[in-house]
Amino acid sequence: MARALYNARRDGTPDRQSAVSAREGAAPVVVAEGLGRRFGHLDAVRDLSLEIEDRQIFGFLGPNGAGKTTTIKMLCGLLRPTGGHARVVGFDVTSQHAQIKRHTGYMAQTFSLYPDLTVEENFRFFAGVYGVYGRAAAHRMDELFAQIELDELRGLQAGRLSGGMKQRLGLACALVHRPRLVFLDEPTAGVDPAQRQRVWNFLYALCDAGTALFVTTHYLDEAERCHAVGFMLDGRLIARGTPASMRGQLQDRVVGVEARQAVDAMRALRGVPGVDDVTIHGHELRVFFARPVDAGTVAESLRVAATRAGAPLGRVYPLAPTLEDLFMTYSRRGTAAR
Amino acid sequence: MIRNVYYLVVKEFLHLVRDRRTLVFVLFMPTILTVIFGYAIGNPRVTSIRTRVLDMDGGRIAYEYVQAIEDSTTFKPDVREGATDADVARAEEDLLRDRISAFVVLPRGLSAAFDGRRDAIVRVVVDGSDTFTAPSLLAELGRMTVQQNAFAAASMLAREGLARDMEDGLRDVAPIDLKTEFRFNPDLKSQNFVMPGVIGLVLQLLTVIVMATSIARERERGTMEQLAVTPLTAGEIFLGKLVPYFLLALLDTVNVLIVARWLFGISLAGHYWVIATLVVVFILGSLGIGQLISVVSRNQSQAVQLAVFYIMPSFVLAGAFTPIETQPERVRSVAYFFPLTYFLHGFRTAILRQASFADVGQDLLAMLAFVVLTFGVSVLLLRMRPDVR
Repeated sequence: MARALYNARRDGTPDRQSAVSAREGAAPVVVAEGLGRRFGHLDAVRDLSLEIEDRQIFGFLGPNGAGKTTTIKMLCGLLRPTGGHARVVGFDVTSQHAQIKRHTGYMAQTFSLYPDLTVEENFRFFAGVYGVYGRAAAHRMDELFAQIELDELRGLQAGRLSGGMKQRLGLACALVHRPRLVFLDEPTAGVDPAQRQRVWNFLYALCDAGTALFVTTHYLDEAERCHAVGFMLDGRLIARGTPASMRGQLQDRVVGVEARQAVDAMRALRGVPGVDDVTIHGHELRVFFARPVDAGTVAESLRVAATRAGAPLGRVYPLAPTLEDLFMTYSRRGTAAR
Repeated sequence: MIRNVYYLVVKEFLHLVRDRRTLVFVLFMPTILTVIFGYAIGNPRVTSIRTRVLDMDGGRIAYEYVQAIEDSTTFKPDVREGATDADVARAEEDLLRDRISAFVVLPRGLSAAFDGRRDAIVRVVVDGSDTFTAPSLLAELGRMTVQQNAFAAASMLAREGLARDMEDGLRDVAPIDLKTEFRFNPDLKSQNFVMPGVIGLVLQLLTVIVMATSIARERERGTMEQLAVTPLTAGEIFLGKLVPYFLLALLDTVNVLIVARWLFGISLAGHYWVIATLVVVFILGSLGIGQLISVVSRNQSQAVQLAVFYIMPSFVLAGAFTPIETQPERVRSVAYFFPLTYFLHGFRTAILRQASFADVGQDLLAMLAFVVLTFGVSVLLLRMRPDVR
């Protein structure tokens, strides 16, 4: 992926990119360069460069208001960028959005199907407007409804479905035309863990069948399941890579500490030089360092500071970083910068 | 394109079938309103004004007046013979309490004064707060008084031998006779003026309100965003909304015309093609206005507010119940912002004067301009900001 990005950057003329995209197989489904969107004085998205491989699940992370939805809307052809350019499934987002719409699917954050229409009527309507009708539509419906477990709900009005069922119907409607790329804006928000599992199993099956997925989520455990992730903050894409390489950025920078008086200990440890932040997880504190450290070496300075505050520590040990740790670190950085 | 519109139309009809109340509203509201308005406004002549007649005279002239008042449909008289001053005071009291709208005093010695060539005075006291009934009451009493005076003069001429008889005398004192002929609406049936107003208003109400909420509802539900990511174009989305409501409005027009014809006896003598064209273009223009309102609204309640704001002034200004000519110059130009104004003019011309296409050409052109403008601007606005919620 890094090499692909390097190539795209080097011969970055739009024409060359379309030639690359048109080639079957390894062509990226999204190529964005310096993409930006300004609303009045607000830069919702700034200088976003991104490349997403075909047949991958790309996780798009970031706090609320970071510009994730704006980015998706630009890539879908719903919103005109005010800067830079992007090609999605080989087509330019400003001049060829009609083609993009034909080859991509989109599922909005909130339920946006017709609550008074039945499951089947909703599906048939969206199938129709995507040019799938007659026997082809019936066939596609049987296929998708079986995969996504909606078969028994066909005659039910969509408004009566539970949260998870609604999401599944939304997914089915976004997939009716076999898009090459699907944008899913928080597909599992407000869905219980068992249903989330089902949705993810389905997403993997979809990906295996050759569809690329662009997924925003707030669940960091879901981000771990993506092939690649990008992290947005204040309108900028500040980090991207595989979940493992992202976690690697925090390698040797997280130290676990046991403490009985967790809050006092947290306050004391935040004052120790080199400590970025401390979070509480029951009797365990997670201590983040600005640079990689050795748990054994820093243990002494942590103990001293905690004991002085009257909150003596238990064991001190190295911790494996999680994406959540990274998310918190980035968010903190964003807040500090503001 | 046609297939896409077809799917949108089917979807819209499904919404209507699921939403029974809206369906009932759309199907029956225009007919019911036509009946109500037809009866309420159909006959603007004032009749049955509660009038107390206090006969303190008991003579010939008083008798003539009482007879004339009782024969006229303008009054609902309550005659008190042999009335006294106490009755006059009571009548004042009843006028204040709004138990009567007017009272007529035929004073003591009225007939004697009349015969003795002294000033004979008939007093009438009217509730001036009702500016609608007072003038018709006065006009009717005035007519009676002129007649009594003419009779008096004629009978005097006959008595003095200056005229052969009463009839001759009348010819001498009141020689001019007004001969009136009414064209186009010979019986001066007010329905022929008022019913087109009712029909226009009702159809405008239906089309503007129903269309105004259409796109706004999709926005409110978030489904507009979902439509915007499909290959559907703005024009197709509009046509998908337009076709179902256009068909329903046509159905309603037929219902309303049937009611207007059989219940209120409106004349439909014009050329059917001219009438039909006027109706179709008017419905399209009103739907266009509704669509424009819908596009600029973020949700349904905003759309309804805007629609009401648009419809209310048209009740007064578009000439539904009073001719545009009766309005002050300053507000008259506002009327030209309603397709209704042109429809009413064209429709009245068509049904009463057998107008041809050339006769209503200006009205048709003006309404067509509304159709083109409203749909053009709507499509442009929607294309510019497809996902605005």
